[in-house]
Amino acid sequence: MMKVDVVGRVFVALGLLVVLTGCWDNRPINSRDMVLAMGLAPDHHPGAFSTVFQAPTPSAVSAGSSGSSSGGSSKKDTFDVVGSGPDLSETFNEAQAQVSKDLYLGQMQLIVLSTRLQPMYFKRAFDGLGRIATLAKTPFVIASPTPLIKLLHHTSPQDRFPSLYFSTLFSCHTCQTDAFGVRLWQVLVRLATPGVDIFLPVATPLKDGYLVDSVALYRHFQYVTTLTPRQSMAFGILDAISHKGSIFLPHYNASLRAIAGSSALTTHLRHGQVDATFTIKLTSTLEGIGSVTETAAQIAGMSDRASATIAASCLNLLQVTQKDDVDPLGVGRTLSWQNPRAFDHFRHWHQEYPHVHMRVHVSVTINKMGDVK
Amino acid sequence: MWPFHRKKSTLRPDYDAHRGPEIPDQLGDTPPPVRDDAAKLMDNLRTAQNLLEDVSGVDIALVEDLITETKTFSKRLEAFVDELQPQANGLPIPLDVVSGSVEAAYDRLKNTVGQSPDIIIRRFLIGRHHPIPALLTFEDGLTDNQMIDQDTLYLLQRYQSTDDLAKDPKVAHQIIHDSVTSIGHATVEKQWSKILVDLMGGNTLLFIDGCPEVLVLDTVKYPARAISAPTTERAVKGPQEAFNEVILTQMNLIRRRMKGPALHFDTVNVGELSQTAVVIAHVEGVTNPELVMAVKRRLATVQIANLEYSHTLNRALSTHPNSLFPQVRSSERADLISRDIAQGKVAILVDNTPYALAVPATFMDFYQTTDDYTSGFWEAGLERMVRLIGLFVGLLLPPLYVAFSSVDPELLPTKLVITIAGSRVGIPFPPIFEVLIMWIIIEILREASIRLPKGLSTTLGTVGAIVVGTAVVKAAIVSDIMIVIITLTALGLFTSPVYEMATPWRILFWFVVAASYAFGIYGIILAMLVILAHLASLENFGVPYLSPFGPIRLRDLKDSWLRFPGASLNKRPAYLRTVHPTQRVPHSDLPMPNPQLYQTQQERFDDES
Repeated sequence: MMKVDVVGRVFVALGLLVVLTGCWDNRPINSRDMVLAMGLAPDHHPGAFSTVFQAPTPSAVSAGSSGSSSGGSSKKDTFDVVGSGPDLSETFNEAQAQVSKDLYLGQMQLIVLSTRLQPMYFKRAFDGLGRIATLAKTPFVIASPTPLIKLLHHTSPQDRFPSLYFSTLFSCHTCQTDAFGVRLWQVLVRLATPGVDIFLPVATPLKDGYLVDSVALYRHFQYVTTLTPRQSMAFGILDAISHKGSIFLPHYNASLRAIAGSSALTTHLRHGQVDATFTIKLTSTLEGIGSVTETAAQIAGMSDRASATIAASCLNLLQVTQKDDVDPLGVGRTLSWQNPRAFDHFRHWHQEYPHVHMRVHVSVTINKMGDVK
Repeated sequence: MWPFHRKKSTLRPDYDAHRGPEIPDQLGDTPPPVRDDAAKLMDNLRTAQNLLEDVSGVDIALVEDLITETKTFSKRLEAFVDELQPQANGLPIPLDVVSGSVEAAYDRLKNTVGQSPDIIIRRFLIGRHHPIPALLTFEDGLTDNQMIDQDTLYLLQRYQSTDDLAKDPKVAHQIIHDSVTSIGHATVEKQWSKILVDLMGGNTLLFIDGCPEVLVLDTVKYPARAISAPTTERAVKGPQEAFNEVILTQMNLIRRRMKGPALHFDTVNVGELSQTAVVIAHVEGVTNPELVMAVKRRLATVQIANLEYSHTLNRALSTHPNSLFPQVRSSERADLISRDIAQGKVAILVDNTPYALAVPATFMDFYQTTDDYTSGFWEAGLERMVRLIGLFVGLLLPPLYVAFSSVDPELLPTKLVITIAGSRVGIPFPPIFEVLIMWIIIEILREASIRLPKGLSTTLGTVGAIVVGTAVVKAAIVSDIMIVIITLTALGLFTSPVYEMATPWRILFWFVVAASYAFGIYGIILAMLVILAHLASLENFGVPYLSPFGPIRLRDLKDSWLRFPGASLNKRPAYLRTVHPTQRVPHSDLPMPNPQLYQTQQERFDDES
């Protein structure tokens, strides 16, 4: 009798487990529309914004499986559905009403933000994104001044879908000049952390691909500015995400490439004044020098000149960010880690950030002499 | 004329079975004069006839059978009565003991086992001058005729000194044993219950008139399959000898590998009808005596009419007989069983079955084979790791496919998801049905290839796999990725060197697939935990099934999924609790590590010159 009770309980538990699993609405992946990219842009209706959901067509999926390419055919590889509304769920519902299959966000690789998106909608959209269960918080987020439809419809010979192009690009850190790739969870973390602002890589369509060599700075949800490529490189060095930076030294008629290294930020509070010091140690490869051999004095001179140039460039960038009242490098966050009481003392960090005393120490080591020898 | 004699064919067409048999009274009122015992029997039969006349619904054939059985029984009874003649002391001889009378023995044999055509009963006389009646009986086909004719019968019939036998017939068997017969192995028995079993086993029984004991001559020789190469556990470099069905050959194959006197074979007979010889092999001084005792006790509990296969004993030898996982290692490889015995295990050999059993067996035992020890430790470790990977691939690949393509596609890289989704475009079934369809096809092909002749099965398997595999993909019933997955699964689950270990995984495979369909990756992890918990709960003869991993035994890990060099395997497995744990004495200093070959060669050259 007791055995029957135990067996009964086990069966009831298994039954409940199966019934309550919530997996009965699971659908095979080919019965879903896999949204690979999503764009957020302002809408012409007041009080609303547009969301573009881009998914591959079944023919493109089939071609992807068989290894063939549908690039030569007139058929489109992707299709877009656009929904508009005051928040993300409204836009999603409107988009879902336009397709026959389930719009599946679990494989989303790219979120494109229009630089013209108002902060209010930016906030609403990201609040919604943070709570969608099927969305792994791993898609890359980029900004673009280009209309999103144009950007998402732009094709590259390197990858059939824009989303795959950017996920391939950002997934390999050392492949890029500066690893500007930012994932959704990193954006959400920065938005939730006091003392640091977000930055997003900016993509611009080219004839055969995209140009990604600059970053857009945001003050919380507000777009502020887009850095120039030179400033973006300095930003990469300050944030220690530079891998293939280069600098030309006119005095020596030489160039240094593969500039990469570490950057350590320390903050101090002296007499109510915040001091921020960036200590940057870089390595580089000598290239493009006119002489066949170079002396140690030449190498040392080039190192000093490069260090000074980079330090000036970085300091200049920091001053730009202070002027725009944007803290993308997280000086406030570092202060809150290293001196929490002092950070708590500042009610509004953005009011204090422009007054931070910045210092940059750069040392460039030339450890490879190129292929000349 | 027997009153009830009537054939079925003579039944009248209007015979009504429900009305009962019409038996005419042919016995008459005055029975013919017969012997007393026959008269009693006739009276009984007359009574039975009268009773049967009143019984309705009795089939006449049944009555005929009843009469036949009654006749047989009466004959047996007469033979027993003849033997029950009182002894000199006035006490009757017990029924199970041989009386010493050749005639009585003949009657008893003739009326019991002698009705069978394969039992030969031969009466003859020992000697020529003062012949003594004797009787030989043997099982035709299980005995060596030459041994009976030349080594026994010929010598006995020409024996000269029969006077010695006549002087004291009670020791006649001893004289015959010592001086006449040239059979190597002869024993003496006096109980019918034992000599009849010996007779059925191929021994020859020699009854001498006046001698109350029977000489049991070992003349066993019956057709046996030659020792062939193992077919179910093939090895690349190891010995190529497999057991055959003859238990003596099985023992010989082990004895050849272990000539030390410590190897013991203990015999028990199992099976009320079959009386199958079951041999318990162990090494005295190595194997834990408690283990040997436990095996014997468990075998003693087997109450079975007919023991045909060694695997029938698995249930008695397993602590958890209802578990999916085998707890007894069976093998046809003589070298492997010998190794197990030397390690401290107990082997059980069963007559008429070429598969010996070894206990206790752990999970790891089912993933080890001869090749692991005939190759270097690098190769052995690699092969074992391949088996482990094969197990995981076979067990987890389809569940992972189901989970990733149905429940958790967000966990896969996008390019792989697109590949899977693309291969599934146009497939009408969900992934779990794909798995179901393909697995059924694989099982059918597997079963057919086992049952068919070897040449045909290979062709059928190859053609079937290619044709069916191509056709189902073209018909858009399953995706092409599924073909790859199910092929790897079918191969992976059979990487275990022991065939029976594949069965539990083939069954549990469905458990994991169902869990993956319901709960995705979470379900797979849950299912694996359940399986692992079950494995951890198993033990046999006090040995945990997951030894040496649970509980962890560092010493035994040297010969688990990786095999360390032989020099480091100095101890027998700890979980066997052997009474002599050391199996190899470590030697640190090699004698003559670098012999001076060149110097010796030069010295010889100098000598020659």
